[in-house]
Amino acid sequence: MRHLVLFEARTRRQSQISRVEQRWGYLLISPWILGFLFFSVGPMVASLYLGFTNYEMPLPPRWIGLGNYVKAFTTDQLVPRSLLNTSFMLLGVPLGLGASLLLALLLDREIPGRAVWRTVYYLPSIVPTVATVMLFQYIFQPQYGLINSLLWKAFGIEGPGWFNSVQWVKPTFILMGLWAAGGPPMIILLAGLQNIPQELYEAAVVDGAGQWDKFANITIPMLSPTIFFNLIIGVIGTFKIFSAAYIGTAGGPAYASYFYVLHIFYNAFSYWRSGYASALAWILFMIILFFTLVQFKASEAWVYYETTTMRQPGQ
Amino acid sequence: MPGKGLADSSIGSPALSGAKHGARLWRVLLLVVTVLVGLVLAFPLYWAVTSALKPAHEMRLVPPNWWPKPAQWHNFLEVGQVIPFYLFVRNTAVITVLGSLGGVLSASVVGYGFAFYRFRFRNALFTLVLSTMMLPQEVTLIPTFLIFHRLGWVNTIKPLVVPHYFGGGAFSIFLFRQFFSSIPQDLHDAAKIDGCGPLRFYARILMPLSVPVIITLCILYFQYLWNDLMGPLIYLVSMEKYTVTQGMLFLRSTLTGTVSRTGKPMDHLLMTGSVIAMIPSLVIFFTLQRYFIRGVIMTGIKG
Repeated sequence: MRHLVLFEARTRRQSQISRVEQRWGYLLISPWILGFLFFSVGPMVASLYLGFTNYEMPLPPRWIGLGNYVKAFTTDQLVPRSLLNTSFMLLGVPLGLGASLLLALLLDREIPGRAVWRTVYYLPSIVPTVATVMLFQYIFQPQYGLINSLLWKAFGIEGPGWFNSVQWVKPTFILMGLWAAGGPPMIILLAGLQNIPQELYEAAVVDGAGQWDKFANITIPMLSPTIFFNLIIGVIGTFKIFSAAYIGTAGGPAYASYFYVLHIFYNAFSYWRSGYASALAWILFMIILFFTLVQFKASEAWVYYETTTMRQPGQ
Repeated sequence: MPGKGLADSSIGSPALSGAKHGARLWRVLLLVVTVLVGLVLAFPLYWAVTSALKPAHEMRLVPPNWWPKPAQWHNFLEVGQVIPFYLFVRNTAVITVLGSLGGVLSASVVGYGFAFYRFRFRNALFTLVLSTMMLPQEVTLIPTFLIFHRLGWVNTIKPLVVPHYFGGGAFSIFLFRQFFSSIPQDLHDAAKIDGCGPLRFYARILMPLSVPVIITLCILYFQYLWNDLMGPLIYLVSMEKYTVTQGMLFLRSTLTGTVSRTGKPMDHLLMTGSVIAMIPSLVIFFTLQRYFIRGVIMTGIKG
């Protein structure tokens, strides 16, 4: 009998939704609602509030207004320092994306053993961060590491200090990031490449286009939504760098690889300045939001969307 | 792509044989580049595995040994003797399995609700689900810690596992909802008429259909949980609770200044530890490669 009622409710689809259905709907999504309240919105509001307080754990939080933000933008030298370090790492985003695109272009052709090469290119990105960092620290060890001993043996060059050098530590992290260029971004670009209709290239050849014309006028415009997406992900990921730096250098030498999230982490869980760390986290949130919006705006100018031919892979 | 079109267009026209020749040369050249790049990218992994098997005194040889002589499988035992490394592997495995289970269970239930049931504010709530993807975890970190601290959960794995049982993350919910939306609503209605309740429909029909989505998500959860550092650093205090990542840091600090019986530094075990840390990732990648790539493309396209 109950099912019959339900069935009738279905047939009057537009007019009303049965109470039972509503109740089941809310029941099923209730885990998310609870999680949203207790692990997203609740903590978000709480950290916004804590950002305006001085809160050092055993003592209760004390309202200090904008004090934390004033400190972050004026007296705390490590804020501009860590933001500059992080900005330097942004160089790695276009470099990494360029490398991913080159790798994708290499694989986007009929070559013997293509699946094997794709696997080989992809492998570095699945290596756990801690293993990657330890491996690169070993290979780039200044005295007996593979790179410097080869540089010395083969060319008589004394290699730099890599992770141990104030000048080299950030470029070395970028280089380490490039090792994983064959990972997810490359796969996404490859999928994008394979979605470009062949007819476009054939038509271009008929019109006498060369390799470069085809690349610049077909491949790049057709890929631009994909490139743009990876750019956003890359920039946001750069602002959130933590594990590699914590494992590799803990911010050193001489704060040369001291990135913004390290600053949040140490303030929160080493110095237990929960109020100040909350303010720092909100600054990060605003930065990430800002970059996302700027890139969305900028993309409108040059991204070429063609909805009819850009089928989405994986559908 | 480039090259292919050129070669095709020149077939059968003797005047263009020069172009055809050039295209072939170009193709061979690109193949050589593909292979060389592959070797360069694979080399560090080769170096990790061979170094993991080297005795202590071979680690600092200049020029290095390209192959350990002899291969010291004993290193894999030794790394577990210096510190309880395999306990850390087990700890991480427990967190990874329980966390993934929670994520898959709760995200699929929530996705089921969003896909098959109509309720007030459904679309607004789903937009809210998607908007949480923009929220960096650093923002919620401190209050979340305070909650778990109050609950007395610090120095247990609960803070690392339990949150996954509350929705499993926006992307997982999104993925399940999208997948379920491709299943005709009629199937749901028909099951209902036949007396199949919502939970039975979920367990008997939806879950078996969702195996590919479940595998894809398990891979994503695995990668996150196996690699996570900040969570364990905050919540796991005593050494016997450490994860592999923490264990590697602990191993490094233990080995610094420690010498083997032959008086050599023991840092060769760091490579052994690294290789152990990457073995689960490699095994999962090679057995489930298809789903891996699928997951990447789905995350890449939908964000």
